[in-house]
Amino acid sequence: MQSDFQSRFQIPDLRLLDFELSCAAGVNRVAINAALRQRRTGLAPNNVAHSGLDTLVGGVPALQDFDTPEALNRWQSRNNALALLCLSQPGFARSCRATIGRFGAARVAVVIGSSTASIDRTEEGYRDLLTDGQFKPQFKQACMHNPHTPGAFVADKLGVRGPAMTVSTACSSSAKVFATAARWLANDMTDAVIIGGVDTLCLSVLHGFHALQLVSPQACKPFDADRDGINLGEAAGFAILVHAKHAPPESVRLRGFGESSDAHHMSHPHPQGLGAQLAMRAALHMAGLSSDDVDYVNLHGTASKANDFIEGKAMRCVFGERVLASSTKGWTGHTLGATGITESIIAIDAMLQGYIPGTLNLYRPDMEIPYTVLADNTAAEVRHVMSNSFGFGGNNCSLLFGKD
Amino acid sequence: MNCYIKGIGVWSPWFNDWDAFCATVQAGQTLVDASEATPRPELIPRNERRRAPLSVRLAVEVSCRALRQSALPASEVACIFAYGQGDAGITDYMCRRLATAEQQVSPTKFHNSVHNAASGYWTISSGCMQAANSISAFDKTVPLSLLEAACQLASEQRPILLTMYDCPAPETLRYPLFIRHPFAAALLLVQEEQAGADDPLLQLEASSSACSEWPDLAIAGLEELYTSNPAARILPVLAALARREAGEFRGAMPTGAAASMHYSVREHA
Repeated sequence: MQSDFQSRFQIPDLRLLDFELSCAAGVNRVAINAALRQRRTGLAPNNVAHSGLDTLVGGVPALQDFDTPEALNRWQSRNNALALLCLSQPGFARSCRATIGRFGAARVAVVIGSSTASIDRTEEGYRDLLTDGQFKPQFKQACMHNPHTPGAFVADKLGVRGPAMTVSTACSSSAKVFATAARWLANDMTDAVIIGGVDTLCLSVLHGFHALQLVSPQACKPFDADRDGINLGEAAGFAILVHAKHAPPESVRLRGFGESSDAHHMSHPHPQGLGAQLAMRAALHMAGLSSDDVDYVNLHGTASKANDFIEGKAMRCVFGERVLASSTKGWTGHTLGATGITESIIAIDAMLQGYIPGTLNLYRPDMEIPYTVLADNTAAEVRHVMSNSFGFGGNNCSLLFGKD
Repeated sequence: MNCYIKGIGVWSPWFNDWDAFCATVQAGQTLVDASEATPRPELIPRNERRRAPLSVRLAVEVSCRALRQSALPASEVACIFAYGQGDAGITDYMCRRLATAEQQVSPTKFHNSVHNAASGYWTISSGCMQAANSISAFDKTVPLSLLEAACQLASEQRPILLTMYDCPAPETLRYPLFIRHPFAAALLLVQEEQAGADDPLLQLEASSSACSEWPDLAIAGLEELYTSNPAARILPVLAALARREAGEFRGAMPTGAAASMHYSVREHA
């Protein structure tokens, strides 16, 4: 089965120069790591404007400071405000400037994963259309109302003048940006790629997932027998990927990635998790590592009945019962297109700190799931971590990082 | 980067397949408006096809044509689906429903609202479990998708299907893009080892220099399609392939504010 699906890519030694994350658990990595250690959730009762849906959401209140015409001008949207909040964290902002200064703006690229783009702004415009069906002037934004808004905004904001693109493969979007960036660097298309993922709370996803009966009225309980659906969240995460020769020797290494398709159903995963297995095995194969070499897996673990059951089956097939694995969605909610980079950064920080977050709200493990998921936080020696992201359309991506 | 073209599919209101496009280009035929026709890809099971939006049917139809021409099994081919606007019809539906007091949306419409709906339908209908991507870059979608496809082909050494598609939008979303006609094209790209003697070569080279103008199209009657539909920016490449004359056709397209993609098209031998 595997041989036909394994990547033939000889991945060069690629490193993360820097990375940053803003989500419901905190506005930057320092705050998020504190919340993870203190098991303090970012989920709160749904307060998204114009949505009366009875659920919890992982919102980022601090983005309000940027969701203004003054801060964003022609780019105004909730999604861009969240991107800007993360890009404004001082350390990461410095790293972006240094990268562009070093390689030149034309030799830096941007690849952003997003499923909602700035649909929040389009929704807002539709609530207040002119009588002839047109947007009011403030919504006639020449760069908005299209799926590339996140990539275009980040490139414009940072002053990047190289290639800019947006990946939109639902919940695997900002995992797949690592694969694209790795191939662009390997083929010398660019010297550095600023990759990221941004998705924000909006009516489309809240009420869309509700229509699919996937939204829980309570706090999500990944892998728990009583789990009854997801909580939606929002996040922006970014990283700078370069060849090892351009990074300090201790920088985190992208060891491998695995991409696959379920070829099964638009919104339901393959019953045996075949696509998920292919993605995890492909990442291991590219890294030249065995399943025994992985110390922690951050699971997709959405807390939907189907995802957790099937991901557990796939984990069992690939890892046996050995590797520590948890879902951190109880802290962040499901951040959709941003989930790949959100959970990659959480897994990388677990590796750097030797401290693994467990699974919030996992009280009564579901015995039907053939994999034991970590509930409590735990200290451990961690050298390699994997992050799983599985999306609608049966689109899967697993990433593998190391500190070697 | 060298990409050999093993299959081509194309669809617009004026030409529903590659042979018709070639006839248009080679003979300078008058374009016949066939805008009533819509693609009906047999690959998608009838029930699913009924629910599939035009964007998906367009993309899957040209993908089928390119795959059939290549004679490769779908299970061996990774895919990239690229669009400048995405399915504005579904965006319009979602936003209108969400602006009402009920805020009820159809579950099918919602799962079709993901921008990777076309790649989802394609992999499900064709049984393909390979990597599937779904990308956009507004007006620069075609050059970025060529860059992505060429890098993926070179690195993964596996045949790749690149499908570019865009459809007209409902009234409210005819800004900033105003796509007047549907268009889709698919290229099935392989490396030299898998190329046949007749498979033309598409050479791509990235450059860190700005490119402010798009290539001339020079096909009478298609200018509006070419300039208004982001996916149709592939037309000069297709036109060079359709002419099949001796020699080399060169051009360049912008990939960033100070970056471009230079291409040349020529016969294999």
